[in-house]
Amino acid sequence: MSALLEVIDLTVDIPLTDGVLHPVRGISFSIERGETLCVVGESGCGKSLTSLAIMGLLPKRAKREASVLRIGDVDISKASQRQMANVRGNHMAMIFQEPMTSLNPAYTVGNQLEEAYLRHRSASRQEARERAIYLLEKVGITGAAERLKQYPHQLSGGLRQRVMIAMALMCGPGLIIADEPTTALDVTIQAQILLLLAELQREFEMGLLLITHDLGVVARVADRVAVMYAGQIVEQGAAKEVFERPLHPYTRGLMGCIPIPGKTQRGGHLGSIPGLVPSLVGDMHGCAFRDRCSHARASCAEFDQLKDLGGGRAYRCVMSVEDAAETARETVA
Amino acid sequence: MADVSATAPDAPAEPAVGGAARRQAALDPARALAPSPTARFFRRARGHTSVTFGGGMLLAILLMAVFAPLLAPHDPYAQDLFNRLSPPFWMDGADPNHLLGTDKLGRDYLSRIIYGAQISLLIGVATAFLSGVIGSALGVTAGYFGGRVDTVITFIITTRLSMPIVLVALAIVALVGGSLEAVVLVLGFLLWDRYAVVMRSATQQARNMDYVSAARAIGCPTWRIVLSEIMPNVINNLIVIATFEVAHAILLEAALSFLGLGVQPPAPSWGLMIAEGKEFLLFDPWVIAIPGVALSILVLAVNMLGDGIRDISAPENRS
Amino acid sequence: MSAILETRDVECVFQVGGGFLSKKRPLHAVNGVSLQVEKGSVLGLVGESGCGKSTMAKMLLGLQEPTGGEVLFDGQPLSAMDRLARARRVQPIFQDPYSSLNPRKSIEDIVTLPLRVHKVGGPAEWRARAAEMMDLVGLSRRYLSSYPSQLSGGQRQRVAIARALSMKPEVVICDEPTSALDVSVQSQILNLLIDLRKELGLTYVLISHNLAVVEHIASRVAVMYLGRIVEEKETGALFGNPEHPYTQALLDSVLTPEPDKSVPDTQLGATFPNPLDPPTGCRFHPRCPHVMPECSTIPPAPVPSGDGFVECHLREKPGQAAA
Repeated sequence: MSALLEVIDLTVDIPLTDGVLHPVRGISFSIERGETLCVVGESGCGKSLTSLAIMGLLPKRAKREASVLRIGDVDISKASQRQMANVRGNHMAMIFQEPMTSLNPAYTVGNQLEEAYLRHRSASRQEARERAIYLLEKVGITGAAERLKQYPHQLSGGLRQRVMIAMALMCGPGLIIADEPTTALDVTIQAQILLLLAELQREFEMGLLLITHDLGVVARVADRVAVMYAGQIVEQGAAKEVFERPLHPYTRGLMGCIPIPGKTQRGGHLGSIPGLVPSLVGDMHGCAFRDRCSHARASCAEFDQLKDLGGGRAYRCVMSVEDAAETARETVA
Repeated sequence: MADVSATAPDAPAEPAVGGAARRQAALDPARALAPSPTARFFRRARGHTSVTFGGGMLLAILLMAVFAPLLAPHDPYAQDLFNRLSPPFWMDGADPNHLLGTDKLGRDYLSRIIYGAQISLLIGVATAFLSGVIGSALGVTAGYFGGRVDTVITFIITTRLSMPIVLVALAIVALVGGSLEAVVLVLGFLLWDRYAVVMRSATQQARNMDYVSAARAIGCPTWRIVLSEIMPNVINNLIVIATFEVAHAILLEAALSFLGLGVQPPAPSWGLMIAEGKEFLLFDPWVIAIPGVALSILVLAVNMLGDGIRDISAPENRS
Repeated sequence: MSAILETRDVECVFQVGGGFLSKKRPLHAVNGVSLQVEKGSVLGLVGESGCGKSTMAKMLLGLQEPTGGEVLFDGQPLSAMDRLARARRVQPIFQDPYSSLNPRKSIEDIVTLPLRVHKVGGPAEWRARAAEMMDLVGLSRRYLSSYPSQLSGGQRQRVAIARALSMKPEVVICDEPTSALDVSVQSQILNLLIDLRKELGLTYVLISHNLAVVEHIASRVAVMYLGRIVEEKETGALFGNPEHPYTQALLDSVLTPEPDKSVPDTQLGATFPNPLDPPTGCRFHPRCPHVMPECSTIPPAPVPSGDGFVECHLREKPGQAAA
């Protein structure tokens, strides 16, 4: 059975006055139906641009290249804007980070939901309205019929995000791309929204591409995880595997930064990663992490390959698996 | 951050002081620094057509005004009644001594145009300065203090906006008599509304920033916060408005002079020259056209410059 | 008991909305909060949006006048203190490193502003102190002539810390100091804050929604909900045995990077707290999974628990304390 979403060698280049920016540099991954893949990384790693690249929502001067870019049985690597407009909302839908700004304040909730449906289906207004009510109830909004007449500013952040989710589901897409869907929400609401997404995913058998910087969210939600750094995937695999035996120094460093109540020594120093992300402008070669890595060696300047360990597990580091495990034992949490 | 063109400066010798040394090693990136805000501004300015073109033209006119005594071939007030309405050089019967012809009293047009730039620029700048001071003071006060102060000042602004300025200016000048000083004062005390509105909203935005809260927490007195913390951040808006208001004032002075209530003859104000030429509109249209074109070029230059500055400043505001 | 910072039943009510024809409505941002902060300790103040913690921060800094109750610094009312005296003793670090530094000022200007406002020494002293502060927070001195736009978020936050400490205050109010930063930078800043507290004997009030961070650094924790403290205790006691249902839900919602756990169902319901129209009785009752009839009519009073207190009807009768 072929994967729901398949991405091979996706690259995004943005020409600037001072050179060419390479925010996404040859990443590959796939998502099956019913599976949650989390792409995790810090600001500037290229994760948001990846999702925009897949949706065809990049800014005009950005150039996107991919050897394979397929959703369902639709090849979108060379699709025109018109073709993409038919795919968006239909085969795949996106949920953005800021519920404040992703809904149009000038239109009612009902209007926006129905529009999403009528754009892709030749149905009557009444049918669209019924589907909107059905989905609003599915996302846990009570009094759905009244809510349709409300404007976005009358709803709280958590409610708006639920409306966004309902809107994404209007045409029954196979894939949902969620870009930091809970970052702007309170902690208690975040848990509710994540539970909702998981539930809906199970019920509608959708794939979920969840982009986040929060390792906690990844650990609790992901089936598989891809760690991004400086435009590349530096480690990927089953979530449990990656968390329990991280192979890439960046992944390990990242995990060491987070205090875990009950596990990290209180009042002591947290792990940290020195330095800053390298510039993504101009020619890049070798390992992008080497300037910040405590295990860097001379060969890192030339090494830039993703080592595939089979079963979807891969990492991009010159160290062997044994060496990586050895250094993990040295850096005690 | 897209700007990576600056060179990396040398790091001066730094002492290793206890815990600080340990921290030092962990953090210092070897990256080149992006250019400072001022450097970025001027770099963008050089590349922007409106700024270079408009600024260039304005500079040319300014130089023309400053060096008028050297550039003008004749005395702008010297009359030559035997040589009245001599046509400009592109028409038949032109006098090579008077490239742009002469007016109805035989005065050299070219010289009058050159000296007229002085009047237009002087009035434009003086008025913009006066109205700028008044409007900014009102706007910044309203924006910073809010509450009742804001309500009162907004009321004053609304009152001013409901006045038909041209009529008011005419009425006042009719009472006190037309002159350069009268025009500057009247326009200066009337044209401050746009400054007030823009500075008010810019100040409100700046006031919500954490650096203002930090300054207050430091114990900074209000006057210092307004002048030292807020003003540098709203000055860009001020400059953009000022350029537009200069153009506005220039045109209003021309209108007032045209109506006989601005600068008085025999001064070579371009507006006055248009007024004096209106009786010749049908047969010698160049009498009006030449000062008209001069006025248009000046206003165009000022507007282009203002447009360009606004364009350059805008993306910078989005950090 | 030597509380260096104390609030006694402090209140802050804003009048919002209203126009020419409609009346203004009161917003009870802070509704009677009594806290004590011991010298040298770290008090973590946690809560979600709308709970009033930002308003608390402003009142503790003296930037917002309380509409009721008082804020005391070393026994002295903050409102009675001279603006400069207060500034010498308590300083802030704000959340957003992009708006807490004036974009038009150089780093040196920013860090020495307190010295210049308080007229401490002359230009030579200012320059020396600026260099000293940069060393203290681990920033290269060459950044002194740079502008904020040339620095990264983490570097800017260090500048903010340098500025806050340049007058050697006793208390630092940290309002979400790391929430706007990347994870790898957060840990650097947190480590810096931990070190500085020990080196300089500072007292922190750490306001945050990130409970894992609070658990790591704070000695005592106070949980805020819609303007009131619902539970306040020593950190270990609060995290080990949270008594208020909101605290329990909050702790459950903390998603630690432990893959063998899943997303918990806190059973809080979908209603959201609206500070303009707070519920009657206990403000948490519409969302509480253990709500009782009296919760909607009688506001609970603080009940001593350990060395702190909790405000919940469930904890009022000894027999009802749940595990």
